Amino acid sequence: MRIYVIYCGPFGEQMINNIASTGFADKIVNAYELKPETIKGEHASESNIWLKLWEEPEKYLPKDLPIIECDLLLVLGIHSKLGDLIPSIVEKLGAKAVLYPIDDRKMGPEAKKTILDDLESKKIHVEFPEPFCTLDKSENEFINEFAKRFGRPKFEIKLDESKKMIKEVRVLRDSPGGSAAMVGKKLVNFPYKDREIFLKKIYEEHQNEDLENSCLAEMDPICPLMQEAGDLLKDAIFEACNLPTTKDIILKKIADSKSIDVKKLEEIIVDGAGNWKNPEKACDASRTFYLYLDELIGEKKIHRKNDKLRIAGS
Amino acid sequence: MSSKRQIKEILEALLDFKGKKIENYCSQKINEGLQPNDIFKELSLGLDEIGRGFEDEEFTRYFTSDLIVSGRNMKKAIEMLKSYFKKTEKPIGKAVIGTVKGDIHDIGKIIFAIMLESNGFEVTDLGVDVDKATFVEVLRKNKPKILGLSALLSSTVPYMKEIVEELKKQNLREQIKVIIGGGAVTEEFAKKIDADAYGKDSIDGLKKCLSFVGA
Repeated sequence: MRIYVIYCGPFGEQMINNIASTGFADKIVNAYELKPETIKGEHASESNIWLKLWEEPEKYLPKDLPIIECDLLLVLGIHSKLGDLIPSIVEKLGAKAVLYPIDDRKMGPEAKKTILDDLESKKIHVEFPEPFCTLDKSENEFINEFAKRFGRPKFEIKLDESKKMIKEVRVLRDSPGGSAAMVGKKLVNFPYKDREIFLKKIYEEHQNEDLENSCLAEMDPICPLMQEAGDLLKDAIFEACNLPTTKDIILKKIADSKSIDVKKLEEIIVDGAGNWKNPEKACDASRTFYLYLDELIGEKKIHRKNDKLRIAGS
Repeated sequence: MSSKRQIKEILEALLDFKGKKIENYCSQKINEGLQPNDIFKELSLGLDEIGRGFEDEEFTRYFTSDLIVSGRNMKKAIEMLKSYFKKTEKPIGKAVIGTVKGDIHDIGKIIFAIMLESNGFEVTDLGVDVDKATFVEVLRKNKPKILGLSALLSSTVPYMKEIVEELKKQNLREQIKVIIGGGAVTEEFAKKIDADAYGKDSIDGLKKCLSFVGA
């Protein structure tokens, strides 16, 4: 697989660095930093440049963009107004699939629907994982190959049962920016028995901004992508430690109550206040709760009718 | 005021996710004989530009990732430059500062602490996520003239009011000047919760603290 990366700023740099340093270096055929200043500079005499770019993107492709054929185009952290250039870039590079993660509301391309329609009409598969580490699997072979190594974290963890400590952590799938591997390293020799301490450690390490590979997603409570990323990481660790995950807790609550209102269950499961003492807290963000609900419905483990949830078949 | 080229250089140093460029930038400036305070001022121009670019509704130039990386690099710069600050023999006043409970953002607070220290204050920085009991305990022990409270998240702002109320309850309010700052607070809010001052940035905060001690 040949990957071409269009990126901007430290968000893209961190992803490229992690992807390249963990075995995908030979797959990256080029990385190009696409900055609004470049486009502005090349069309300095024009006014209303962003409107014109939307109307006629081919004209505004950067002149120094190297044309190298690729299978997968990875778009990382470019300006939302520059998203309109992507279909034209795809055409130039002959890309067969596009992976365009959105780890910040402001990163989302302004004309997402147009891009999607445009690429689909050319039979180019495009995905917008939000955040990037929700990427699990894809019907597209190139995105799927990428998602085997990077996306939703997956671990294999060996426990020291006598000392109730984590003995060894193996990362089966890292988050694209490398935060899963980074947190995994920090958990070796850490006790896992006290749930409150263990949860606190995982979330704090994940959001430790002082570390090079820390999560860079948006954390605003209005769009808590970083919190969702933390939940997915926590559940991957809990699953590998054979501890109850958010999905296990959701299933148990529904089974115990026979039938439960979605909102009521959300209130029990989601606690975004950093309250680690709450024994019922299973995740930080409502987004994660609804992602898991959708998955459990898709897996036919639960059934939703109107706002009521039941165990499937009950 | 720095030139466009200088701003570009500052931004590159602040936005380098590996943090190497900020180290080189600070070393180079020190070698050129620039004072740490002036280096801070230069870097602050870069942070301001990133902040403006983040908040610009019409043309958002920076994302959360840029805020995180530039904040991390600013902390690196502070660590590097700390040792170059001359400490005054006798402090002009004591200050206790901290980011309030529920909030873990501290870059603005760290810069403010450095500004206070380099201008003669003895500063006790309680860090982040600090509850009112801790503030009260340290205020009783240290007897400072100034208490600085910081909050970036709007959800944690109400806790500032709780702290001021607690100071009144504990009969500490009269002896202490309270200054608040951070992205989520305003001058109006400072008045509303009965704080003595609002620092719109570290330089403004410093000016107000100097006036509190008559310097």
